[in-house]
Amino acid sequence: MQGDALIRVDNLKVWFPVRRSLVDLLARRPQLYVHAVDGVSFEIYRGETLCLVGESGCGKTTTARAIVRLIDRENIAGGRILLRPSEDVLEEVKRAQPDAVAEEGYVDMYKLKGRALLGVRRETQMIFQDPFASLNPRFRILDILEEPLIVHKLGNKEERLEIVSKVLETVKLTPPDEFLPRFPHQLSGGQRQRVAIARALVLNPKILAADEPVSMLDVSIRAEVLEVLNDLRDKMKMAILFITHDLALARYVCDRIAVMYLGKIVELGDADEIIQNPLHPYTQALINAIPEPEPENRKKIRKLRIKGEVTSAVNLPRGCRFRPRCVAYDENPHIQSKCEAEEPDLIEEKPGHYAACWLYERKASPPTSF
Amino acid sequence: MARKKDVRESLVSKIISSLKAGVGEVWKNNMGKAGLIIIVFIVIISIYALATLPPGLPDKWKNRLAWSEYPTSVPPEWVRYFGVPVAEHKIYTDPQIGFSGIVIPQNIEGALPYYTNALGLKQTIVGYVQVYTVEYRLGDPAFPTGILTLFTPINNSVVIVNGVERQVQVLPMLVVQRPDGLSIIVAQQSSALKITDLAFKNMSISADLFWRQYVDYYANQGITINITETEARGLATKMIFGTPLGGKDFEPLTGTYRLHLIIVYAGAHPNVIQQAIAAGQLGFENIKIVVKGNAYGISGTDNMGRDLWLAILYGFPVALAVGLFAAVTSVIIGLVIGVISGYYGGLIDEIIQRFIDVLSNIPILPILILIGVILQERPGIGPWEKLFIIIGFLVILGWGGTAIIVRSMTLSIKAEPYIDAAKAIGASNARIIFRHIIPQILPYAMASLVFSVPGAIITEAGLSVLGIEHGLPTWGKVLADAQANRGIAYKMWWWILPPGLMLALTGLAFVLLGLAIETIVEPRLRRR
Repeated sequence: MQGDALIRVDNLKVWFPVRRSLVDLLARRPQLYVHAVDGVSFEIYRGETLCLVGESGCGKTTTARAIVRLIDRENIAGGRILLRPSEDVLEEVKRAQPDAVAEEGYVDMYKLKGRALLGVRRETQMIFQDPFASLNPRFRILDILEEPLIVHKLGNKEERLEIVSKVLETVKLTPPDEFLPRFPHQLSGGQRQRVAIARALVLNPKILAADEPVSMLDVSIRAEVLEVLNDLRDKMKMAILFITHDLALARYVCDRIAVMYLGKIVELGDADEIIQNPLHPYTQALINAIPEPEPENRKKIRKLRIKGEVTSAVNLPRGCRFRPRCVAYDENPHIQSKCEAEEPDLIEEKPGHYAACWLYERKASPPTSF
Repeated sequence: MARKKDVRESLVSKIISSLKAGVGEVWKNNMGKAGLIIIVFIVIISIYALATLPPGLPDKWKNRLAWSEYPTSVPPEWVRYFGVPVAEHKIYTDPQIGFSGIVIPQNIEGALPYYTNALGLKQTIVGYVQVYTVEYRLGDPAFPTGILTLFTPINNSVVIVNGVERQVQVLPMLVVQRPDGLSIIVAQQSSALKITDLAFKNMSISADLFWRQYVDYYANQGITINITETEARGLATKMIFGTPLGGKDFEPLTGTYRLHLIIVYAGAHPNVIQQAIAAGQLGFENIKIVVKGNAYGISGTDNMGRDLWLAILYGFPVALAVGLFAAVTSVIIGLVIGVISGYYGGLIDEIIQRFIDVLSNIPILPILILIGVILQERPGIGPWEKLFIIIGFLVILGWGGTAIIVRSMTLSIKAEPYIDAAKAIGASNARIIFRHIIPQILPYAMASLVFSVPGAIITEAGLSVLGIEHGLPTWGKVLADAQANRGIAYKMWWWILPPGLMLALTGLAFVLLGLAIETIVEPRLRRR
């Protein structure tokens, strides 16, 4: 299983510089950074959906953008994103840019440039949160779906039309001829999001980053979009990075869940395991916050096991970054000194279930140690 | 190759179809419709002007002598329909010879005395004589503003008699025979001249010739005319075409006037001269008798007698050229630089924005005045080149505003997820700029282009009035001339109003069109 990872994110750090004023420059104040992603590691296997869960601003979208290389190289503060392309793309990269080829048939996303990058872009695509903004309002559906093929110089006009029609069928927009000449504003939200998925699929990628693809959609049409994504995973064996802030949704969609807090993964494991048996205080709080479907229980006021507000990603606290909000920190005086002094690593508390918290003793080496 | 052509064709047809759709949208809007109609009208007039106006007009416009055939400072002819009496402006080219023959002392009872007697002239004419006669009808009680005779001598002044060259001399004079029977010599070459020595090619009326005769004539009828010889010079046409009411007042005398151009040849035997004239070796050609009206053409004339209608016509293509050139170039420069600045950001953005800051703080007017002065010092540069150098500076100093707005629009479009999506599929920067960003900005750019047309036209006119001149007879130039002669121009509405109205009309047309485009670009501005 290990060798089958289509994408390996290794201690990825994405820092955005804070714009300095002239006064700051003159006073020679140090350049500050927003630590959007601050040391994230995970792998996604073929035919697997990994959910990245966390609250707003925790860096999940930045992580997704990083793996489709929408982040500028100068903002990558550390780490690597390794991607296993198909054989012919790998050959292309080897020819065009041998230095971007990493070990075991992987390529380093942020070493790629020019032609080699264009080739690898066929392997990794993204679906955006807002289907109303991610489609150019002046393009017809045909133009939108044809553009990737034109950019990659694939097929002639008839062949492109055929590919586009087939992809529209994949996302269950049938008959395709009815949709091709329309403009995005003539479609419903669910249809638009499926067009966005179709655009991502036109190039036949192996890795898909879906950034909250259903959060802007009516509840009634979420299922159809999620079904399309599940089909892609199962039938086309794609690796999907699914970003969401909704743990309940994550359980329905994902094989594994990674919980992020302030740019770091604090817990990682099988979806069911995490929902039923959360280890990290933050995950526990998140699960605690899931709305109760049972009407009887709704009236009870539940106490959330979290305090305060999200800390600024510019000035991170020393030690554990969750400490200022952590209830477990208050309740467990014996670990407080550790919490204050050092950041906890992700450790494998149970097989395949990792957590980064001083509550759990180190039993094995961290999962990602390359 | 075939595929490329295919794509290009579809792009062209796409542009055409979107243009069609755009015009259709504008046409639906009342303001847009009005603007489009006026602009089409302006374009048609411009084409007409380019096709019909003489190519040498700019040079002719500057040449004071070229306008001697025109009445000066007169209103347009159509003022007649508003009840203003109009003396027609009439040019008689190559009039018929009414009489030609030999008048010698022995033959004093011959043909010429018929003329001199009939005209009541007390002049004795001897020699070979040609008389050209034209009729001028004064219908309205109004005074014409002058009479001018023009002729070109055939380039020969000698005849050979028995192997000896003899100089031929001529004496031209113009006689007006009035409806009331009075005949007046209104113009005369004072002494006989060698034909080719004729320093003049035209002959204007001179009150000195008839003042005494005129005063005496009316004194005999019991009307005292109280004007001196000097004053008579200013009243010459009134005296010729009017009857005195006493004092310095005259009343126009309507009816048919006969104008006789009498040319007397001397210096050789009349028979010899007659033969030479018959052989085409002597004489005059291009004879013109001009009675200057008190109204002229469609738009009147200015103080130099220049036909203002020509300048109005000439102004149309110039205004279009100036407005469109300035607007199109400054918007294109602003668009390109704005998109580059917004899309690439960083250091490029910073440099461009600071450069625009500097540029937009340079005062345009002093620089243009300086350029104007420099240009005036260089006679080698043609008027069109001068005009476009001036416009060029307007463009160079004027694209900043567009660039700033385009930059901010680019920044907001750049943040749209569909741009990220295009990047994710690997679209090049050029593709993103040309396929995704510019089409979004284009409607704004069109509106801004249309809006900046009148600005450029009016700036050009304003610069002319300020004396920054290129020498073309444009609306601004006409206004500048009026401004230079403001002492008399304020009474001459036809000098000031038409160019002003044309400027306003052109500006209005483009503003209406711009407003219509704006409502399409920004639907929130729609009233319904």
